Amino acid sequence: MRLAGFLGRSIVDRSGRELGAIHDVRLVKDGPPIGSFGASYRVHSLIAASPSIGVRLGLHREELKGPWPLKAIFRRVHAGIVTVHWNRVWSIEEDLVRLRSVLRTDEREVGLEDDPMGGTIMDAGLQLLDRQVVDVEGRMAGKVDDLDLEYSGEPGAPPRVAAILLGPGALAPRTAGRLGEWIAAVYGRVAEEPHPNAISFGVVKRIDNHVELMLPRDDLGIMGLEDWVRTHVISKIPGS
Amino acid sequence: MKKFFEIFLGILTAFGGFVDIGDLVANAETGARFGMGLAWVVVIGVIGIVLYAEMSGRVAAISGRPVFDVIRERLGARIALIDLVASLLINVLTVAAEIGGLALVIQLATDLNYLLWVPLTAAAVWIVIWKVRFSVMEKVFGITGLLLVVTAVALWRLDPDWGRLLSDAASVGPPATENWATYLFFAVALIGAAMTPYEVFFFSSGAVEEHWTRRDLMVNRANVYLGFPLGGLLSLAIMAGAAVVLEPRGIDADHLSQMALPVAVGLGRIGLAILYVGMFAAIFSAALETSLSAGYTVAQFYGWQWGKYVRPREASRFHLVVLLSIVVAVGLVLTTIDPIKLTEYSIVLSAAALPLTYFPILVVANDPSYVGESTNSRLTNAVGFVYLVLLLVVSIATIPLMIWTRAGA
Repeated sequence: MRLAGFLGRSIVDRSGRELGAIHDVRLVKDGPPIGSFGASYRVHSLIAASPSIGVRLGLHREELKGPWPLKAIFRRVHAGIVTVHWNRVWSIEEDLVRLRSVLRTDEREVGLEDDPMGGTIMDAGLQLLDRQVVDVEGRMAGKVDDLDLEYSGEPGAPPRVAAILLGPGALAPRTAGRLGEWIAAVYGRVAEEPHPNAISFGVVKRIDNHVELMLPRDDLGIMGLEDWVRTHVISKIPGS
Repeated sequence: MKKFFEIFLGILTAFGGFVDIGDLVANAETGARFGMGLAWVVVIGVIGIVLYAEMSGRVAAISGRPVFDVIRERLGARIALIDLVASLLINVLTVAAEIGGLALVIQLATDLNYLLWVPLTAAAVWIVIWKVRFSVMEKVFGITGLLLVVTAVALWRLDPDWGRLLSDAASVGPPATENWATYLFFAVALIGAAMTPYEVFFFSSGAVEEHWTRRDLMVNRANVYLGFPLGGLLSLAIMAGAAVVLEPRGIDADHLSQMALPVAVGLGRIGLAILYVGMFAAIFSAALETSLSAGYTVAQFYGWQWGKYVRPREASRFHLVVLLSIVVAVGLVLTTIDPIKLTEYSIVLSAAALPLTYFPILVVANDPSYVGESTNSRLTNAVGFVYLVLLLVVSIATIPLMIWTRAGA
């Protein structure tokens, strides 16, 4: 399951009433341990609202300092944000997520009280997706083009973030619709591995304004295109 | 003392590097057609770039994130991709305009056709990017660009009726010979020339190239608050020179040689020689900035290693993009499109693309997770917001105005 697969999907309650589209997925760092990263980030809740703009801009957050006209507009727009705990999800269907109960129209937080969060909280879309990945030597290694969410541990447990996905196989489907899916499919055939490049979350050192890894980028098997350009073009020019 | 010297040098670099082919063309043309009637737009444009360049420099210094990182992080991959395609297109047009402009300056000095000089100047631009250290490159050409002060000296020697220039500058509206649509079209062009997006792409990436930290915020402010407005004064001097020398005689500034007339009249041959060197340096530095910006934006969108602070082989894809954009630009100029026309289109299209670039900067400059305590002041936010609305109006109006006025013809 990929994070981007959730974003933009509509969310309906048991009666079929639409609550809006999913804008972000809230994570909390108390999942089963992964590599040297320690406790993994696992899915806590889904954040839904309609209409859609503004959440990715972070304009709904209290800590943002302004400008006030923008804040005021988006505060009104986002008065309707609904946060639904993962364990209230009944099914994930073709283009919607269905909840297991019927919600009151004024319900804004659903099922959050039964889950005391034991670690750092992060909104994946706002604070992780599209961020720069930097290796242990400070070299840039790509963007967080998507996240791989996987089920692990006991049945019924929420999925956790297993890997950072990057490269055309992860980015194209997000950016260009049908054409993007086609690019990703072609890439899947051409590339040695059929799946997008992935970096296990087990080698993530720190998440700040960028994601810092514990390994050099050349050890990750994700630098194919860079290596090709270096070998065939750049290193042929004197003084490279 | 060292810090002081660094700040001083930074101001001079920002001052001399402010004017590029877009500013030269837009200011000379409007001066020749509207006198000082559009001077107030230059002031608006300069305040705008000062405001947003300061924000982008501050965000880059504190968070290490240049502008296109921020665009993707805040607008998401899809909208950022649209912005990337638009920015890259405009960027390559601008590289072509700068390279064409350089060749035209040499043509003025040597009388040999500019097309001959296009491949040579382009090669020179690329070699400097490939070989010369970032800070050296930026300072040498920026400071040589200071020779453009000759335009201000020439204006002073022309001894114009200052009172009339000022009163013209204070009145809003087209002269009797022009209509409102053309007047507004050129207003848009001046905003585009002063606020071209590549300036913030380059400025914020430069902050990362030079390893700025919170301690360099002072340098950031000095560059932007002093260097840019001084550069803006040069823009106004070019406009005023054209208003004094070209407008009364009904000469349009369609050629670089006509744009040089005010200096020739005011200071003679020596002035002209200084002007050519100054123009060459200023446009050369802009050619470096725009070519690098093409690489910066693409690499920052995809997360590739970029920058001149690592060896080229460690940022292969970045250098490939820079090289390709220069090659495409050369191809464009060699089609024999008039480089001045190319410049006009590049600045007008810049104006249309402004909000997508400036909006995320305004948002992030208010976000403590990027800039900590150093969020925007109330004043910056108030003015920044007004500019955002203004840029939105400009971007919506640009294309219709361009079609309506047949690009100011």
